Amino acid sequence: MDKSTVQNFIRAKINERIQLMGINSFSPEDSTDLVREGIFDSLAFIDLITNCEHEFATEINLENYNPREFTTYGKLTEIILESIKK
Amino acid sequence: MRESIKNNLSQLIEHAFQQFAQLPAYNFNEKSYSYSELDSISQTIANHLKEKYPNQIYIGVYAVKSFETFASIIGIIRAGKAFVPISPKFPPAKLQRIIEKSKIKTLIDLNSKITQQQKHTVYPAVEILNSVSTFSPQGSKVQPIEDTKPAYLLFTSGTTGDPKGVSINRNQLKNYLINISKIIPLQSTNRCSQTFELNFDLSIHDIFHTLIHGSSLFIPEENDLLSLGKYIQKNKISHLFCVPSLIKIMDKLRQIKKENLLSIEAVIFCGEALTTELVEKIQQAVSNSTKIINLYGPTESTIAVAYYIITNPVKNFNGIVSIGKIFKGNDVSFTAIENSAGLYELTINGNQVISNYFGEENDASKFYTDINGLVWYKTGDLVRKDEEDLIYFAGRIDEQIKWNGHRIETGEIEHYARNITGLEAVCFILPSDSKEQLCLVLEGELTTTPGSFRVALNNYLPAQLLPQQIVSLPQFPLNSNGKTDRKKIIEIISLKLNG
Repeated sequence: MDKSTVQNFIRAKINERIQLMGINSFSPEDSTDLVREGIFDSLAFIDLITNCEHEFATEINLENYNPREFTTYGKLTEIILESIKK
Repeated sequence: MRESIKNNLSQLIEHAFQQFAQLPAYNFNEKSYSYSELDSISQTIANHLKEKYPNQIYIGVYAVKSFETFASIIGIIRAGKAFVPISPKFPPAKLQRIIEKSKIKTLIDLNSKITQQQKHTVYPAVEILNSVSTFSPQGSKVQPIEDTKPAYLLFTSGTTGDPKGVSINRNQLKNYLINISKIIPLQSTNRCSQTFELNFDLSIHDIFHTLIHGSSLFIPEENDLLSLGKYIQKNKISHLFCVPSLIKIMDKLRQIKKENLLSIEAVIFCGEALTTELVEKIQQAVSNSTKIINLYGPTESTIAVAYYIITNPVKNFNGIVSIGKIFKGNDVSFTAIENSAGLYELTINGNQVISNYFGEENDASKFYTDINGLVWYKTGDLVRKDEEDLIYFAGRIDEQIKWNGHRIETGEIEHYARNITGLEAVCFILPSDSKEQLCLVLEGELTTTPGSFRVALNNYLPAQLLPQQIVSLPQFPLNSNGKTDRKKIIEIISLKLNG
């Protein structure tokens, strides 16, 4: 699994959310905090994690990460890639 | 407190400001605000509203979580007016409808979160107040206000899709606060969580229950909800109040641990059915002295109107924890459901219950007047009762389905599915152009084949009640109040199966 596959999936989920908000496009950077930016609330973020687990057939454990960090686009991608490798 | 609680709402609030001035009222992102600071800004807001808008009763407040928003809510109440939370998460059409129905002319948005574009499209005829510094500095001390006046106006999603207004008066709010203070007595040293959106009436419990007792309210940021256990540990939260779904999220994120919950004195649930499984998870992580309380109440009955302090063994029916008994000053009546022995629709009446929807004529489908002239609210909730008169929630009337000639509760099928699989379950009739099917949706994948699962279900349910469609969703969608969104699940599954 490569980084771009994971990022494409996350971006597709971001697009679903922003369409609901009436926003046409949004390009996240690695430092973009998807929760603080208001794209996902905490409940929707959990949905995103579960969808990623399902899509990539992996279990994502966020327990040891800082919630101010794992909600950024870059860190989330990194965590998903690490969990896939395990 | 015992003496003052007999008084009216404004006296309760003013007493708190006098008594607890130096204590911390709120904690937002590690920044603390004292009752004295809250007193000052909310009084400025109250004076401004009284002077500038003497004839306006309902004042909107843009419901982003901030110190200024909480102070605005209290300022509106201190001005003798009623607040109308305007959720930034609502779609523009719903916001426009709420503005139209509530007829609010003034909206407080002290964090300036409303954009210029929104001002023009959603709030063209509403004056938006952005800065306290422009408010009239002068004004007299807040005077006691009659409890017959409205305190807040919320909009619930009506069955037709048109939001219904629920206007709660100050007396109803005071009665709730008196009742809840007996069940959950707070001290000024207590630290309470604030997890609800401000358009959800359980947030009104958070704001006013802590205020009248001088306790501190800790408002986690959205990110903090993703590590709520650590947040509780770090901030030494004593009272956690949330919907059961939030505990499920904590569980998924491995946040329910003894070391995270050492400070917890009470865990309070409300807003959706509570399962014994969830209670057991909490019980394993908290001390024996921790109170676990299940509250029940439609918005129409002012936050909550029934309670059960959880005992061992946990009183439950089909794994759903009892909602206990009704609050003092309120009454219940049980309307038998045809062809469903032991099942009733719960109707309620009393000093916390409204008698009609805001701005609407009496809605006979929801309210009726008995021979004594008392108005009863038909909750639409199905319940059972036991020999101790404890009440058990058994689903919504509109979720009760007729299938193969049987009137069945989807809750029963869901209960057995949960027990067998360990997964959350939602059961409904799948609408179809050709033939309707009984559908069961599980939150997660089955570890056995659907066939062997059906055989296992057949040990508890007759063959005609076995679901024909068994589908999995990785995670159940939740609505903005954090509750499992059944309507959305049905929508997703209908699309998936019917195309």
